[in-house]
Amino acid sequence: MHAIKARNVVKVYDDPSGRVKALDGVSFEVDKGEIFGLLGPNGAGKSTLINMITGLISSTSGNIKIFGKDVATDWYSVKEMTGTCFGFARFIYFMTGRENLRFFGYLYDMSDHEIDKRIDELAQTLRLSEIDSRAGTYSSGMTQKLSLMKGLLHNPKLLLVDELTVGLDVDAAMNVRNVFRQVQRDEGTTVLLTTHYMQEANDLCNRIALISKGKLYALDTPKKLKRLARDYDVIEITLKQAKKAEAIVRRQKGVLDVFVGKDRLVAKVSSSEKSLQPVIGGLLKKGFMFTNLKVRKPMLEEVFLSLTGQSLGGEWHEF
Amino acid sequence: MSGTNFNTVKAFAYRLIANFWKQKMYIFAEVLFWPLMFLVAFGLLIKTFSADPTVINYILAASITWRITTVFQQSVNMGFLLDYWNETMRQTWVAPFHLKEYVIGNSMLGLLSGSVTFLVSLVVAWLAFGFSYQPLWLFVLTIVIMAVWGCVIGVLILATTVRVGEGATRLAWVITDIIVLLSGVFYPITMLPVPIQFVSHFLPSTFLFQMLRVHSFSPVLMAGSAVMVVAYLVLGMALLRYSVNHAKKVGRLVRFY
Repeated sequence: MHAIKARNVVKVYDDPSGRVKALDGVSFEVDKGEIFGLLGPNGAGKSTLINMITGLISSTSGNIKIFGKDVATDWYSVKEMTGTCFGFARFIYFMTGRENLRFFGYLYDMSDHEIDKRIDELAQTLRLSEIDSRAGTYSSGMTQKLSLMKGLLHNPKLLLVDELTVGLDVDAAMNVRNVFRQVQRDEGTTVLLTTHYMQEANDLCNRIALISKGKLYALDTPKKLKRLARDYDVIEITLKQAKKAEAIVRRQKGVLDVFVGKDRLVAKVSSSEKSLQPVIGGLLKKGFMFTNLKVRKPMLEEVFLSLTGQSLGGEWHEF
Repeated sequence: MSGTNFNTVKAFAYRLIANFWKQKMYIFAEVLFWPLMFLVAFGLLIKTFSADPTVINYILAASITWRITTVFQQSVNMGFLLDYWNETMRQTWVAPFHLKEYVIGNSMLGLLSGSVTFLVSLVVAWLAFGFSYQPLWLFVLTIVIMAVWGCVIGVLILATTVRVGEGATRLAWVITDIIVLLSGVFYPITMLPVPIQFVSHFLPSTFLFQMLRVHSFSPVLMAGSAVMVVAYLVLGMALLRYSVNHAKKVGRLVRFY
């Protein structure tokens, strides 16, 4: 039995501007005990999908099963097995972090003793010492941690995480990712997370589904996904006025495509051996000065781009 | 109660009570200030125009009953409003609970604050106006049924809010007052225009206040009112279930946050 089995899931909304297809026949399976990533840019349909797995949104057609239970017909059982952490989550302003979690603990049928024990454990792991302060006074990072504590409170079989590391500082994000690894390793928890951080998906997930415009484009391990794009090289240049440099690079021998970010330019080339010199020479000739140069094999960002024709957000997300 | 998890009921009761306990002004305003202000205002008004103790006692009893109904109605709606105000709707609705547990749990705030309001109102009415409604048991029974009716109104507002969207949250503050007008709490419904009288006959509160006004128990009216309350409760829960399913279909639970 799979932890999640989604079959041909379609979601259509009636919008004043017409019918909007948020998800278009998405099918996938998540194995028990794996960390599974949904990688895609904002608006790709990741959050819609996670909201459908939680049952907050029903599907127009298709079905989703969690450990064999249909979300549409057995919502209560699905919710019992699932812990959910939303990025940018909010909590009851006037109640402390502990009181907010106590509310959820009761909903998950835990006793006061179990709740307090688990809260203290998680607060220590996630380094949230302000657990007895009002949730309304928390910074966004502290709220994200509280959200993760809420998701893990009842030791769920499945942890759903929606963009939780957005807005966290490097150290806190690393700590949160370690928690995902720890619950996977120690408790066998299945984790499904949505992210538009390529590196996060690459480092953390056993398998990744690439999603864009409501469609699932590819699903595999990060290593195998990267192989999809192994027939070319990438030249990454850090320079001022990257936009102006694009046309020059695009004209050079062996350049297949060019992607421009803020002060950065990425050229997809058939062979770095053949194209490096013309690209660099072309830029220097026109007076461009660059501060960094990297030649590498394609990363998930480029795989995503080549499969979907869309970037993960118009900028490289690294940490 | 079969199929009801009391820990879940406790969760919703705990959240409302823990939240509002920290807002002393809210407690003061809703549990003491407004109920007592209405009680004193109506007491002074009726004493000015009538010396008949039967009339004075009825107006005071009606005023207390009306406030208790409002307290219970608002209590049922408060859980939803709390999620709406704090943008925690998604957080709550991804946790496991049944709708009946949600309604019962949220109405516990009403039970607590309604009990305090009732006792304080009784004491103030007695001290300030010599309140002594007879038969007392009829008054208490009416209060109990009206408290449940308040919860039912809350469920109907909840179903409407989930179905229609945030604009309907305002109903939580006005609907009981409209029902008071329609139920002829301070006047016989014969004073209302005929089409509105027709509507009044569909409200259990109309018959309960009719009995309370004449200080006389009618088994038929009491049983009829109770049956109507139960029927509205069943209808309200069915509507709420339908509204939640509709909200899931259009994604409204997510848009509420």
